[in-house]
Amino acid sequence: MIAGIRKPAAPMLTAGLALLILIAIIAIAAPVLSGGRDPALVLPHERALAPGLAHPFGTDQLGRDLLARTLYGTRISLAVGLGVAFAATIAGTAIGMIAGYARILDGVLMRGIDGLMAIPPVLLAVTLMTVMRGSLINVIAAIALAELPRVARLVRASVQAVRANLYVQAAIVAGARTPAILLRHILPNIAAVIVVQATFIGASAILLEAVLSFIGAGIPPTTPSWGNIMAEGRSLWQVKPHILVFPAIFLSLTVLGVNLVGDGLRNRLDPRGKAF
Amino acid sequence: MAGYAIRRLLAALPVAFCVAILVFGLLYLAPGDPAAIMAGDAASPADIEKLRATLGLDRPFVSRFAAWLMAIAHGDLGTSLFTGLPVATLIGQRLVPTGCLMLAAMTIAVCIGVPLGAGAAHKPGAIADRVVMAGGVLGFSLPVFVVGYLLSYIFAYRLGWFAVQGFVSPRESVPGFLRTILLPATSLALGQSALIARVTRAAMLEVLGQDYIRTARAKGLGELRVIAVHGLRNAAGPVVTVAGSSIAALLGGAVVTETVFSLPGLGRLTVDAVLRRDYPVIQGITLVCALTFVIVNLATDMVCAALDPRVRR
Repeated sequence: MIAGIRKPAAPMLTAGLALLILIAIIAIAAPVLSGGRDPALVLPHERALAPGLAHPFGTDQLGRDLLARTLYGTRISLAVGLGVAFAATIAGTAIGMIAGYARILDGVLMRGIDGLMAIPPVLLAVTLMTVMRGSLINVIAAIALAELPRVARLVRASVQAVRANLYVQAAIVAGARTPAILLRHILPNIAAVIVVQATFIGASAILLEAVLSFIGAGIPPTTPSWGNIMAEGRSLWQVKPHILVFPAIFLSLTVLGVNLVGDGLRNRLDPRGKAF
Repeated sequence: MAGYAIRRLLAALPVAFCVAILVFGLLYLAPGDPAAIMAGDAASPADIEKLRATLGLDRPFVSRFAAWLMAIAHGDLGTSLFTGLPVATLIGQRLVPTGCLMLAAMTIAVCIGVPLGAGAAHKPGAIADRVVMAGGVLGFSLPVFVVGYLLSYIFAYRLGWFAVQGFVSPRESVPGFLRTILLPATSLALGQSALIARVTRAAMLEVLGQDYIRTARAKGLGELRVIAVHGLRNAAGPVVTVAGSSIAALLGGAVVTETVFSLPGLGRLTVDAVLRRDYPVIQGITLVCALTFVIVNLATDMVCAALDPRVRR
């Protein structure tokens, strides 16, 4: 963004950022905000309690405090969102740039990407998680692989659009080496599009993690995540809806925050508002 | 048109082949020895070795992949480790609920998304436009299971208008079918309708600025006719494409929706297979869904070409 030019106020972007800052504070300060409650402590005499003074969000069917579990769950969601956004964006950008610039490799790489893209992301991540242990790093890796094709396709198309520009031709003629052309001349010109896409990837990754945990293919319930809290409350949802309500609200607001930021950034890049 | 169809079909074949390699490769990496699992606890190492040779598990990757492809070509997707039934049979039993869910969700998503998107594009920047755009962000931010449980709690559990769970085939009873399918389909469709609305809006904004729209208005056509006939017809390409590719999200979402609403479909089968680590079933479902996606994309291309002759070049 050029300094000195005032952009019109973007209330949605501001709201999204505020929401995300709030969520980040909750993630960092979870032990303090939950009043020192242990998210893993099982209280057999206080099972499935409705929200009250001792347990502001109530307890789950094992008697664990839901305030602590929900607040600690923020950490998992943010870690997955950030981790996948970085991993999928870096890997997808690398593949997309090579495919978009080197025509010899384009066909092979893109068929692989098309094949990967044909598998619905949820199913791909589920399949990967059944062959891997349910750890945070594996969940990030599985979701990143499922999200990577979208980045690769976008980057490839952007590179192909940019490489026809005169300054790229000039760099080639001036004898710049391929890595320099890609990193110094092409990457800065497509970076904005990639950043916006990375935001949406983060939002989608948070949702996907919740889905994986919800169906029992994600992080095991010893580490609370919004998806596995909801999975455990699933059998009681009609009689004890409070077990599902709080993680559901936190999850929806977090994803909304990330999407609002992504949308706001995209509108800044495309002020005519023609993009979807 | 026929030439274009053949070219698209030929282009889809390598993609389908890549899908096959990926799906096979993923499960090739699966931990645990299928022979040991199938032989059971009482089997001796020699028995397991024998079974392994019978199953062809001792052969190299390429040879196993070729055998697997041949089996698929004959409709054999393997055998479930848990039930002992053929995977193709298990999938076949579950196709009707999932197929109905997909069709219903797609119909709802298009019926909500297209009018909202077209309406928003009619006066860009107006209040209606802002509401649709903001509602769109909200729509694809809400997780499928959150919408599912919310709708189910209000309309099925509290009000009793719809079934809380289960599935009734439309051949048995149409009202029963609607009572079981409408809530899951709506919760699945909401996110996609937001996406379709935004794509429709973007495509319509492009089209409504064209000369032929001005001509249509100048010759005195009603506004509805201008938008619906001259506008939407020309904006249909991107809308059809995004609706077609949303089948991937719908198939993924079905895993969740069918769990929330206890629909006995492919998604439910996936979840059960995940919990039992029944790899051949997961492999079969993934392959069927991915090939469905490839075929739907092919169909989408055909529809786009039929709508717009320029695409066929």
